[in-house]
Amino acid sequence: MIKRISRFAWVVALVLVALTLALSCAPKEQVTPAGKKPTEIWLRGSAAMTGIYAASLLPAAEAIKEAVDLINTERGGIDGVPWKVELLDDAGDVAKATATYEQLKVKEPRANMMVFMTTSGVAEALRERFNEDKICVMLPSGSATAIYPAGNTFCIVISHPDGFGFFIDWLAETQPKPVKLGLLNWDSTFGRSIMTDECTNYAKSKGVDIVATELFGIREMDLTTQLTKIKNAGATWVFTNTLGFGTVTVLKSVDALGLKGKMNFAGGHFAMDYDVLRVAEALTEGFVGPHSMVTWDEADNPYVAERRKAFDAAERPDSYRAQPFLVFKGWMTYVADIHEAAIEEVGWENLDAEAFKAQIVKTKDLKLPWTILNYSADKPETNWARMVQFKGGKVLPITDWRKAPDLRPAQYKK
Amino acid sequence: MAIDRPCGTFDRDYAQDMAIVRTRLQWGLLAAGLAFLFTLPIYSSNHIIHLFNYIGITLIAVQGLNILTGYTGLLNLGQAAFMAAGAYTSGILTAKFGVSFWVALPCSAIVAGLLGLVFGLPSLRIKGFYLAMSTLAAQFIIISAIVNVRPDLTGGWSSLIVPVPKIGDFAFNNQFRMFYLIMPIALLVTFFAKNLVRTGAGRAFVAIRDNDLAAEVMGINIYRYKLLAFFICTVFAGIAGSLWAHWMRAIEPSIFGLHNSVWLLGMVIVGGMGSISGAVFGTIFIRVLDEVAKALVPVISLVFPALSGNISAALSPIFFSIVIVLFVILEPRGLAHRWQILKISYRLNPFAY
Repeated sequence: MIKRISRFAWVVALVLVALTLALSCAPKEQVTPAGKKPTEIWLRGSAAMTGIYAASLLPAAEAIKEAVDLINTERGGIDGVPWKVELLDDAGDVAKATATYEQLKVKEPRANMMVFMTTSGVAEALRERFNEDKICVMLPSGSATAIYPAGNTFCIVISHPDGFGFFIDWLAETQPKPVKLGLLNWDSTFGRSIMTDECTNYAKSKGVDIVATELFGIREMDLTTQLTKIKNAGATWVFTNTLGFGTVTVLKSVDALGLKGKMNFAGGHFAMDYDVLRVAEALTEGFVGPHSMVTWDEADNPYVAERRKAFDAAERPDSYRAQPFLVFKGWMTYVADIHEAAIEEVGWENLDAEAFKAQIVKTKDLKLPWTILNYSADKPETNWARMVQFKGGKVLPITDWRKAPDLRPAQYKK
Repeated sequence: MAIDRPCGTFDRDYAQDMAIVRTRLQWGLLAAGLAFLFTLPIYSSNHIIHLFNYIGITLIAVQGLNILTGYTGLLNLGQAAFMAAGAYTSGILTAKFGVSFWVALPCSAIVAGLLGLVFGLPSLRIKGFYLAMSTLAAQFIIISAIVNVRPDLTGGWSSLIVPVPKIGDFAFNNQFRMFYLIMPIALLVTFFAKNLVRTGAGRAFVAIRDNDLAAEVMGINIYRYKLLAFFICTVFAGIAGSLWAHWMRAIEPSIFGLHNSVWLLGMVIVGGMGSISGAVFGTIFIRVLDEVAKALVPVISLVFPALSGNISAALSPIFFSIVIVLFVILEPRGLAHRWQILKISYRLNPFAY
């Protein structure tokens, strides 16, 4: 017995020694030597290039790479330094995204700015890490939990709640009251992000009654039950906070029930994209929604005309004709501008996330050829949008640009 | 047990017969292995440490499932949901009520264990496919309850942001530090499981698995032991869930979906049901397979550019499914059995006759 205890003690002692050694040798924070102009500057990040969101987000990742290449070609990178991009796949999975982020954050040269083209859940999970690691991150859009309280995360599209508020404004102005609205959302972080007290109360204050709220699973294909419930509740309008295949599922179920023409349908920013149009063009006619960017069908916009030409010249598959390949060149140009403004202000030696943030929050109602951006220290998401509509196989604006109401959670309002 | 012993090793008393580690060589290997494991983060990349943390947490849940499914023969398709129960208990206690992680960890184990007892009750009347359906209900009920019952506490479908564990001012706020929190717990749980299956309770589990009627005739209180197996299984899941929450620092219900329960079960199958070392092998094998799938994507993209976007999406689950099918057909006793064979060949050396 004593022999066994002594052996055990030896093992414990060895482990303790190893542990002490390990902790004393803990790797120090890697710091890129500051001061000199680097030979390259990196934009790192991840995207859900696989998994169920891949259809939408793989082209988005490709579009970022293309945009960065174009910026290198057209303006010689950032302040004359070649800009490189590295996007890894996180499959929209929190554990994978964390692993990816852990990989990226220690890579040298350090990227003080990252882009994440991924799910709301991933953005929420990584938010605190971005703040702690002092990395400025840009997302297309995010839920309130992902961006509030304001930290290092910024979005280029109006948030889902603000977008919903924008739609409510339009509804209140254009439809006879009282408007009865049904919600049909994905049962996910994304789908539920508009099911907040702020959204419900705002709708009520504008004379819009939310008479039914129905949810459906991401893999659900038949929504006739949910739609029947919404119809029976007396709704004349249905709003769906989904994107891509989710919106198509809604439209197909509407068609199956013969509700087209009897009720009106709308969706959030990401529902108003060309992937929906491509799959279900005949069913989309009249579908409306808030939208923060220009569309491929605004051919008279010089930016859009240039992108159309470049897209055709690159002979991209038609499945890539969605928002990312249209607007990401503009987005990356804005990011490059932020880099250059920060470099000008603090120099290469002090270029960090704080320098980027300082520049981003200076962006006030900035009219760009592809959108209008507006940020502040306490609201790291833009709030400009237009209502657009699927019409004759096109996505066309039906209102002018205006600001969306501020429907962020009350505790984050100053 | 004797069959695994190296040639020329004989027990002279019961203590030796009962020992987990028997020979000097085994003690040496154990010490070297532990020293290697605990110094690993020094010379490993952040990504490797992250992978080991992932394996460590998964191993805890798999060990629990192995006790229930592998040793007691009761199928559980809701292990991920019990992890969720642990994760949310720990997350809510620490984030909403300011309770220390060190208190929240045992609380989450107990809450998950109690839930396991509730959902284990049907096992007293049903087994096999029907019990699988009953535990599947647990998977859906628990997740649904998390989302709908008190979304103000759980965050509903949104993430619940969870604070990092601390000892005084020392925060476990990176992969390196979390490694030294997760690994000792994973090792302790494995040690506990290894010992448990050698106790009277462990032998009762095996008796129930082999023939519950015969076990009852022998005087084993099968109700008690079935519930005990459920309790231990879900306590382990609760611990894994709590660690997961504080490791990820944010939890949302979709993380603990049915597919994760299936993956955990797959790890038990691949490792070898009813083997503690099998659970370790299975967990490492499947997690590393996932990494291999990820690493293969660029190669596949190069060889088949047209497939790059789509094939990569399916690669990991395809590998997982193929591995499960191959193991079930070719090696139903899992990697642990292969390890046994290897050890037996070593035992006979140099007299391979």
